[in-house]
Amino acid sequence: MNRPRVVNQPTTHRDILMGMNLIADLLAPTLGPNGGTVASGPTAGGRAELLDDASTIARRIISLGNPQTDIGAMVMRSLIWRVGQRAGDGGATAAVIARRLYVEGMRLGTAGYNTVRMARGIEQGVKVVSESLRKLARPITGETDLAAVARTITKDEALSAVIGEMSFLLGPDAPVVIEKYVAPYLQRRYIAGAHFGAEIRSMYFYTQPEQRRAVLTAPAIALCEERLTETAQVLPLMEAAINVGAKGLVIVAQDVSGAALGLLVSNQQAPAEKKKLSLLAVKIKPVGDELRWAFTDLALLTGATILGPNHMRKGATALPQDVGRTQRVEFATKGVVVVAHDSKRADIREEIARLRQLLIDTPLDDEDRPKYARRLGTLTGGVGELKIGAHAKEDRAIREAQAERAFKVLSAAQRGGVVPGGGAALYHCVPDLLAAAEAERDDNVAAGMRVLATAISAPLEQILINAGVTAPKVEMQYIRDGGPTTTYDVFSGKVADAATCGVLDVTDVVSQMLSIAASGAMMALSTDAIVYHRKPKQSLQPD
Amino acid sequence: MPIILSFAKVNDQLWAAGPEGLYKVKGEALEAVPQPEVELACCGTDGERILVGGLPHGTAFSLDSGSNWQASWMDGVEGPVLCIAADPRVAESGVLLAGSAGGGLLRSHNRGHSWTVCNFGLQDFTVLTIAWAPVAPADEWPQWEVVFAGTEDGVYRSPNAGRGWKRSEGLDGVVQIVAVAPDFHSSGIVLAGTEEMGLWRSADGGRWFTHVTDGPSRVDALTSTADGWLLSDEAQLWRSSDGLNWQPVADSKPALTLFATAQGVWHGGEQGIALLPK
Repeated sequence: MNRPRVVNQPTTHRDILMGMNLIADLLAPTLGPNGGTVASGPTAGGRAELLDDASTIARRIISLGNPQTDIGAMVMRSLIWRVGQRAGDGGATAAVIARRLYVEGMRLGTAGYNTVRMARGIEQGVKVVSESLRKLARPITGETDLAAVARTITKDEALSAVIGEMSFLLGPDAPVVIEKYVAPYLQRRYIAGAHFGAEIRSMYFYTQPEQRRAVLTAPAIALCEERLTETAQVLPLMEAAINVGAKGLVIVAQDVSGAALGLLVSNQQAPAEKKKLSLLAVKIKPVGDELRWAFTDLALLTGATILGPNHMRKGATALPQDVGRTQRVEFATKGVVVVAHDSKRADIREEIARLRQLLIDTPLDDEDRPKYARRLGTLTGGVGELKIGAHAKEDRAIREAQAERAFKVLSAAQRGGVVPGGGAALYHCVPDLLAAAEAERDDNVAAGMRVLATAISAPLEQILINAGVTAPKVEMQYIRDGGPTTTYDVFSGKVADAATCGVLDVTDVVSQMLSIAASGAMMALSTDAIVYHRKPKQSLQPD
Repeated sequence: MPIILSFAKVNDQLWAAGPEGLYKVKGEALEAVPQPEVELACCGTDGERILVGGLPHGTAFSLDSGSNWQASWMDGVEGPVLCIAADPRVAESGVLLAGSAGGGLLRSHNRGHSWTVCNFGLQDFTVLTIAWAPVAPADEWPQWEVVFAGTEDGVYRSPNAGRGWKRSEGLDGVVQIVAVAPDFHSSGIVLAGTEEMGLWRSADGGRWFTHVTDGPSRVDALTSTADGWLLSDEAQLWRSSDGLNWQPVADSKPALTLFATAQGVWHGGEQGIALLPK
């Protein structure tokens, strides 16, 4: 019979600590710019996977093979994963803090302090630190700050510079498409305008046939959520375009074929002196909700009315006011790009503000988030495309993952500002925390705050150790003496002003990371018994 | 004397362009050369060839001092080109930028043979002026390639040699001319001149502009010089050492363009050209 086994104190704390130590020891060396990668494997192909992102490393650990260590390891796995999902970065820092919190909390608990009251002190301490971080924070001033933050994640100057530049130009909700690239270099592209997957309906619409490209400057645009097959469906659109004084007309429809297409092609082929309109007809590719949003956004950007059986008018009954205006429309292989004539209109700005708020309110791992970001890119004037190459497949995968994380973190940086990096910001919060502990009447609560003060010094100390500093405590004193803007610059090996040397962390990331680390450690601290099941459930997705 | 709107220097030869034509500057005289456009708005150079932009549209370039001209491929832009400016590292990069009326910004990476529209981030598509910042110091990271575009909607700044743009804050007006301080990478000073709202100054690398209250109310031409700044309003020239405090230059004539060289500042306007010695 498979009966579970129950253990109590002090075995509980010992078992949890074993697991926490294993994960913290695994991740601590990855902290800071001198941190290394972790090899996970072998994978199905017999290769080792090189990882430097704590949340991915944690996700790969389903079991350590020993139920006694698994408990603590799974607590760490869960909190690191949560940090990755919510904050985008800081998993290794969270592991180091959670371990120190647990060790110090357990030590004081053994000495007779009440762990529940201490947990309350840790909780209050997190609030004090968050407030101190807000005071330390300064807003992002430009692309250089963003590149510096990206460098703390990628540890690659060229990639960080490109990410900083793209994040700056695209804004906090940077709609970026990241692709792996075979050649060992980086390439970025900015696609101005609203981009939609589309198919050109005839090669005669190409204005640059050798490049398979069609470019129309300042054309009118008609949006038809219907299939256009008859001449009577397109004639009113052409007349409307001529009436509004346009020299070109772009028809975006669910399809254009038959006599309707024949009429458009014959007009397009007319001699220049007789031709009144340059034409372009495209079949839009998105379907379902994507199609609905494509037409809605195009209508908003161009001022055109959506025509079709489900709307007020069809193409056959279109009026001059139903066509919209654009600055430029370009068709190339993958789709059509529409540049708005006046993207500063109030209704466009309102929709942009609404989408921005939606993105702020939507967790980083929500499946709707990419849709909102894509629509925002459409309305704000474009998207960025980053192609990341490297010599080896594994390297490409690491760089791609780093870039994705960096964009998430830079989004938070543009909203909440930055603080001195390399663990220094948390270390600079220690005096505020100790002052709060001093003012606290309840000894147990005050002890919790002091435990937190010790724990938040741990990341800086670990980074100094990883950088090969022989006397980390001495350097930490120099950092304290240097004032709240200083940190340790691993590249120069000196204590320096964080903004000047570009060692920055994101305020919101540090704050969220600390909150999650503290919550995980407090849960572990308050655990008094463990039930070991004979056949424990394993989950690929951390809870 | 012809109206002069723009200067460019190819090797040791100074060129001047205006609606009436393109000219080689010989001393303080102008020697006309055949021009490929109906009406010129600007000239530029990559250090080896002369480029011109204007009506009816597009740019053209000459490799043989203006004897023969070749039209550039303009990526569908039909508006006249109003300004051309070369990357300070054009010898290695081959990058030039051109501003058009209505079509926005165009970027060439092959010294003006062909241009592609580079309007990412622009919200106004009439670009009246382009000004590059000097090359970043070698030890600086990241190595931004900063360039500014003056439009009818204010100043736009690009950190990446014109691939993408972001609007600078503070200035909502028609910007006729932008000038960047020679020590831009340490001082961050950029000046922008407008037709109706006077002079504006940024001290943070061109991200935020504030109005210069001590300056003239209209700026037609502006340049940085070895010892400060020089600008022209509709009546005269003005000089400043810091871009904040301006003094009129006595007995000076108004200019439509100013071009700083080693000999002094060339002055182009409705009465041709003149050299203001150092």
